[in-house]
This record gives sequence, C-alpha cells and structure tokens, in this order.
Amino acid sequence: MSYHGATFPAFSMSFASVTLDFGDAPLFSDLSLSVQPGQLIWLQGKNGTGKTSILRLSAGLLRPLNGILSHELAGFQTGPEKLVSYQSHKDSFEPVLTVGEELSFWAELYDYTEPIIDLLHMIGLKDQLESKIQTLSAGQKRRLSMARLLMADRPLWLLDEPKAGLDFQGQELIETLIANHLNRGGAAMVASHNPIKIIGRQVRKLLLETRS
Amino acid sequence: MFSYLANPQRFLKFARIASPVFLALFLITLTLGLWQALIASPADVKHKEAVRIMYVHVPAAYMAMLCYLALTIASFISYVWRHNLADYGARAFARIGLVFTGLCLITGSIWGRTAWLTWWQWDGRMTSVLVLFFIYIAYLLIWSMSEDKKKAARYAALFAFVGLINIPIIKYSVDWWHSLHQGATFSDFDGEGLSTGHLIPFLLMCANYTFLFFWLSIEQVKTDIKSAQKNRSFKKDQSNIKIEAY
Amino acid sequence: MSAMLFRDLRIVYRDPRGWLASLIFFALFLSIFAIALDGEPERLAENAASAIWLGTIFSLMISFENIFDRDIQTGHFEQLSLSGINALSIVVSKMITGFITILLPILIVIPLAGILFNTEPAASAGIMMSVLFGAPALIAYSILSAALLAGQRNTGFLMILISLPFIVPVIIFALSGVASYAEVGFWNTGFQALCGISIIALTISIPAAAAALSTHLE
Repeated sequence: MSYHGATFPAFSMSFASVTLDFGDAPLFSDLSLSVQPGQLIWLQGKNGTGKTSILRLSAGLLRPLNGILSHELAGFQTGPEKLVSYQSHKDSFEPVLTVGEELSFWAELYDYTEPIIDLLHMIGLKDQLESKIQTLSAGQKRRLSMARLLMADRPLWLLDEPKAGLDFQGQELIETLIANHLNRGGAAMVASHNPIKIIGRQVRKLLLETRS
Repeated sequence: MFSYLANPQRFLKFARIASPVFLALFLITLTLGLWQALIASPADVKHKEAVRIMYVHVPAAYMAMLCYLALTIASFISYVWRHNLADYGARAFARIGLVFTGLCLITGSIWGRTAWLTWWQWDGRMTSVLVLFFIYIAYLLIWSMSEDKKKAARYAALFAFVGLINIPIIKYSVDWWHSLHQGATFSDFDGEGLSTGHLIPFLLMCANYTFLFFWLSIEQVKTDIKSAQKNRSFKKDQSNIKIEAY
Repeated sequence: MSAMLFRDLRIVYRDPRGWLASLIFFALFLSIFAIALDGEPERLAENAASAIWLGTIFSLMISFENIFDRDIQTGHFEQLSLSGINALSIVVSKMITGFITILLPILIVIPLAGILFNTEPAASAGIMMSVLFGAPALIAYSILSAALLAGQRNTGFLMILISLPFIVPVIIFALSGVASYAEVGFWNTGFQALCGISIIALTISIPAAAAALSTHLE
C-alpha cells in the first residue's frame, strides 16, 4: 500500500494506561498518550528510561503488561504493521547483499514501483547501488534505512536515534524528510538525545525521568 | 472451578485448606497401601515376591501419563488466556511428571531384572517411557532457557502440544519396531486381570500417587505465587513520564 | 514469499560457510563412525544406514541451530513482521532454503558415503530414498526446535534434546524401510509409514514453529 506522495488518510495511535515490565520490575506504569496526524513527538531521557520500549510497544514488537494500545487508520482499527514504520538502532540490512539487492527486496514487499536509483539519489547514495552493505559506513547505512522508510510509506514513523552516526548533511536530510512527512499529514515519534527542530512545527516532548 | 482458582489470592486461600487435606489423604493411603502391598497381599504365582514392585511401578507409569495430560491442559489455558497460574501449574506438573517417569524407569528396570533377567530391554513400553522422560527434560529446559518467563511459557506450551500429538506416534512406532525384532512378548499382567488380592493394594497405590500429585502441585504453585509476590516488592525505580509541548 | 526465498538463497550463495560446515560435519561424522567400527567391510556395510541417518540428523541440527540467528541479529525479522509478512511464510521459506542448501547436498553425497561404507549400490539407493522420504519430517522438527530457541545462545544441546524424541519414529521407520528395500522395493511398510510421519510432522510443526516465531517477535 503506497500513498505515492499524497496526503495520508486520518489515523491515530494511542496508549491507554499502559504498564510495561521486564520480568518483575515495572519500567513505567499508567502511560497514556495519543499521536495524531502532523504531530512530532520527541522522546527524551537518559539511557534505560524506556525510550526504545515506547517505540517498540508502538510498533507491536513488545507486549504491554497491562493497558491497551490501539492503532487506527481511516476510521478502522488496524494492526501496527499497516500504520507504522520502525527504524531501530540496528540497520536491519544483510551485510553480504548489495544495496540494490536489499532495496529491490523491500520494494517487492512494499509494492514500491518507482525506480530505486531515484530513491538512492535522494538519500545521497546514488553511486552505491552495486556496493555490498558490509562496505558501507555507519552513516551510509543510516541513510539506507531512510530509503526503506520512504518505500514503506507508512503514516507513523518511529525513529530510534535517527541522527546517530550521520554527518551534518545527513542530519539535515533527516530533518527535511521528517518535515515533508509531517506536511503530508504523517506523524513521527523520535527518540533522541539531541533536540529535533523542524521549522514551523510544534514539538511535543515526552520526558522520561528515573523516579527516585 | 478453573476461573475461580485463577485468582492468586483465592488460590492461596484454597491451598490453605486443600494442601493439608491432600497431605493427610496421601499419608493415610500410603500407610494402608504399603501395608497391603508389602505384607497383606499374596505373592504372585509367576512373579513370586517380585510382584510387589508392580505396586510402585505401574502407578508411576500411570502418573507419568496423567502429569503429561495435566501439563498440556495447563499449557493450553496458559497459551490461550496468558494466565500466570496456568504457567506455574504446567511447570509444576512437568517437574512431578519427570520424577514419576524416572521412578517408573528405575522400578521397571528392577522388575525387568527379576522377570526377564536383564536390567534393560528395548521393548516398546520401556523405550516409549524413556522417550517421555526426555520430553519432560526438554520441556523443563525450555522453561529455564528464556529470561522472559512469559515468552518461555508460550514456547514450552507449544512444545507440549507437539509432544502430545507425538507421544502416541512414538508409542506406536516403538511397539511396531519391537514386534519386528523380538518375536515373543514378555508376559505381564495385561489381559490376565488382577485378582482381588492384588487389586486392592494396586488401587490404593494409584490413589496414593494421585493424592501426592495434588499435594505437590498445590505446594509448587503456592511457592511460585509467593516468590513472584516477593520479587514484585523489590521494584526497581520506575520511569516517570512527563508530557509537555514547546 | 518467493522474494524471501530468493533472498535467503542468495545469502547462502554469498556466504557458503553454513552449508559447507554441515557437509564437512557429515563427512567427519561418517569417517569417525567407520573408524569406530574398526574399518571392517562387513560391519561397515551392516551399519551404513544407521551411520548415514545419524550423520544426517546431526548435521541438520548443527546447521538449523542458527538458521534464524542472522535475521534476528541484523533486525531483519522485525522489519519483515512490520511489513505485514506473517510468520508462517517466514517458516516455510526457511524450510525450503534449509532443504535446498543443507539436505540436498547431503542427499547428493550419500552414494559417496555408500562407497565409504562398502554398501551395494542398491542399498545406497535405499538409504537415499529413506532420507528423501524422511526429509520433510526432519526439517519440520529441526525448524520447530530452531524457532523455539530463536534468539537464544548456545542452543546446540537443546536443539538436539527438543527434536530427538520426535525423530525417534522417523529413524525407526526409515531404518526398517531400508532393511526391507532390497526384497520388497521402495513401496514397503517402512517407507509408507515414513511418508505418513513426514506429512504429520509438517502439519504440526509448521504452525507451531510460526507461533513460536511470532512469540519471539512480540
């Protein structure tokens, strides 16, 4: 399902008093929040406060102990896979394959029909089509995972430290892509130590602190 | 009854009464059963005094199967409704089942020594009990392997289901295999029926094992509930989440 | 699913350590077995089927042990599940990859192993056929164990412990099928039962393995 650059249909994702625990120790309890089109949420907090866990919960990759998570797209309840794209701190690419091979694979899964080279052009990897992923630098891999994010074309982006390892141009690229995404009626939840600034957009900040 | 006991507090209340009752029943049947099995019942014509091993052995085999059945029922409840108590139950049944299966193998081997003059015979029954023993071990190791106990419960339950379907197939295959290689089957009590003299201690011992099973399961689940509660009171610091806009 | 299969095969082609390791293990196991039997031609021929079967099972276990690891470590599975691919197709794709890259090479070298074990060509054909008929069951239980242990470390021992009870009937029927192959031909009771077991194994293990994999991903 691709929206081909058009505005996303209405959607929302919400947590209703969600409690998460690992083993017997609760990480946080009774968290309620909701994400609407056009919103940018910045998850801020020290390591181990649960930023990644909130992203993984939203992506359906973690199961809460209590509480309800709901994903809604165009007025219907849906699974997270229809609504979200999740970029973890892992690159999620196979080192022995080439950039072209991996991107064609994801293009097939996501029914992405436009030329891959245009996409590579946009993320600044136009000369790397034939390179094996193991030869790319950390920053180049980050850029490559943005390509998958664009192919999937899901309304809600969940980004875990998207700027890590990126040069200045790369960081600007990320902010441009997020800005375009928000303009199309998408939303993004970003876990990051550095502040995220998008011109003309209000940022909601989710501050995670260790209670002592 | 299941849904009533599904609440840990209610289960603990139930256990306070049920546990001593089962313990008492176990001790009574144990005394009566041992007296009957070892002293009061007659020796067998064919097996002589060695028949008394049967009163320990056959009920153990029956318990090995019963525990597996209980284990899969608990696993099913745990898998579908994700209930902690069913997890504790399934694990308790597996531990008890492992012990009874081991007992069954040991006593079977001793009986084999007197009846067939060999400690071990790769006959259908012994082989399938041995495989069951390995299935119990694998089940318990799956439990202990994963840090995340909720996931471990699901993996273990899936393994238990596959095991349940496989046990009859394994039993059938080893029986078939045995009949292929060994012509004569060894005679035992099947088909002949038990005389009353043997039946009374046999039934007493079956009842005795069953009460032991109930008592041990309740105690196990009780321990698990208490240790879970204890762990929960050692909470680590929770994250406090503030939402603000700027 | 064909895209996933194609990708998996390409990875194995680029990085052949996995299937080479299983083949080398197979050769090593058979050599040790032959040495343990004192290299006596008659005893070797007698035990060829058992040796080849055990070798096949252990090489399978060794290679299936980490069949999901690579995709879990790179984070590929998370991305797959977020693209809406269900665990069932992941499992089936991995099973086909496993068959092509691990079991097929072993099947091909069985006649060579037969020469090593001094067996008649007809007997080698019987052994090959038994492995082929038992292949779905072997792969089904290996993938189930691998899925139950997905993401865990040092699982070799557990892998064997989980699958072996279920593989007992497979070994029994396969070896009896091999034994009666010479007289009755390939459509004997042992091989019929083996095919039956393979079908049952596929129907139980695929959904169970898929359920285990989705448990891993949630």
